[in-house]
Amino acid sequence: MPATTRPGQSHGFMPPHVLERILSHGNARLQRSAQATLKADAQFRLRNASQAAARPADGKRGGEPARYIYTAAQQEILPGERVRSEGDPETGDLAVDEAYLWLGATYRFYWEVFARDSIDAQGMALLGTVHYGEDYDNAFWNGAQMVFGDGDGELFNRFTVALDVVAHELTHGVIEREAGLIYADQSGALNESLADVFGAMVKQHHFEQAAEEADWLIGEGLLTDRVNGRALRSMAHPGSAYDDPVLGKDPQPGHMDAFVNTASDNGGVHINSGIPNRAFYLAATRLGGFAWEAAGPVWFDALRDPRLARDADFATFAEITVRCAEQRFGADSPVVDAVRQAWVDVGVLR
Amino acid sequence: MSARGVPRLAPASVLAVVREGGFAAMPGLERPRRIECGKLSQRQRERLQRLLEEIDRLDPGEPAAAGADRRVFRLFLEQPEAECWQCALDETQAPRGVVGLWQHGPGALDEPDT
Repeated sequence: MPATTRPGQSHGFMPPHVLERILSHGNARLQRSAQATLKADAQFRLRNASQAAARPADGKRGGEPARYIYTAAQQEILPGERVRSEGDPETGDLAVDEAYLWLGATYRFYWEVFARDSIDAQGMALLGTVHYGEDYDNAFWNGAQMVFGDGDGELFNRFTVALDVVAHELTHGVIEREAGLIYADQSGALNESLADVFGAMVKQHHFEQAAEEADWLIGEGLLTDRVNGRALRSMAHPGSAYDDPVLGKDPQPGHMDAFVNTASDNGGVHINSGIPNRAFYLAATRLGGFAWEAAGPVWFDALRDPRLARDADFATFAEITVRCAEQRFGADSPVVDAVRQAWVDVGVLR
Repeated sequence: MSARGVPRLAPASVLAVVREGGFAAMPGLERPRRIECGKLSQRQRERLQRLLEEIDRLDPGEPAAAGADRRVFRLFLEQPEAECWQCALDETQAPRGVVGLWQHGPGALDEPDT
């Protein structure tokens, strides 16, 4: 709620993750207050998510996606007008056809590698809206669907241009269903990292790239030629993706020694994700071959592990990946060593 | 104070408008736009006052947590010798005037729909 403070007072908001902590640790009065606020927030979300009754049909059987692409026609409305459904031919609209193609590639990755049938593992329809807003420089997951802007043409191209961007947004849906990682601080950075990790793997899977062949960039092709940068993030070398007079310098750290403490962007979820991103890169390249054959399944198991709490920190997630590697590949497997060493190398485990 | 809690803007008031988050969260895009009321015309200042009161009436609460890669506007009104005011808005809730301030600065206060 809008707040007034005396000069010198700290400016404090009450994000949902704090409310949830109050629910579990606060006194009775605080708990009642937090419960009421969270209830109001849940009602708000229900009102704003796509109505269940309005959603198109889910997939009929495993292995067959149900894609629906909408256009917002440069307005900020969701889902917009449906322009392509599953099985329809190409429309000739680049953004529409890219969204359809890349959602298909992402669905195929989850199905072929993990036998997972869409976002909810039950064939959930994949809804994507393109041409959202005017010169809109963003893509997001709203809890019910994916949304892609056209970019402003000056700094950013359309957000459907890169497969890993589309896969990143779809993966936020998977993370939401499986772990519900709270989108703030270290659990939020883990949420972002997992979206990047699986986004990168979808791209490598589609183009059949081994770990050592891949560029490990997130959002390559998204920045225009006017920007001094290769992509939005580098999983191999966090902090090196761009250095531009307008966009600034890539702030991602690749080691806990450089962890960034900030209140901005829910506690720097798009900044500190560089640390677990690099851990995955190190594990995958140390193991070699296709990332989705060893490191990928370990990260997927960890995402689905009941021990992964909604407010998990990096160290907790790292320990879970090690346990998952042991369970899947055996305690003496080189996969276990590679995973543990990757987390040691980025300063999360000792 | 007017509305529920927006202080009356004075010449020394400074409004900082920050847009943060999003898939393309980048430091250069998160630099605050500072609106110095002392440099506004009387008409612009009145329009800014009305915009802040409109936001205050919306009482949006902390931005909705659903989803990921959502962008948020944060507004900070600094008032020497007076109460400060702040607000956070999911960009889908933000009035066009807020988007205009972030994109165009004080010039947005001259646009018809601000």
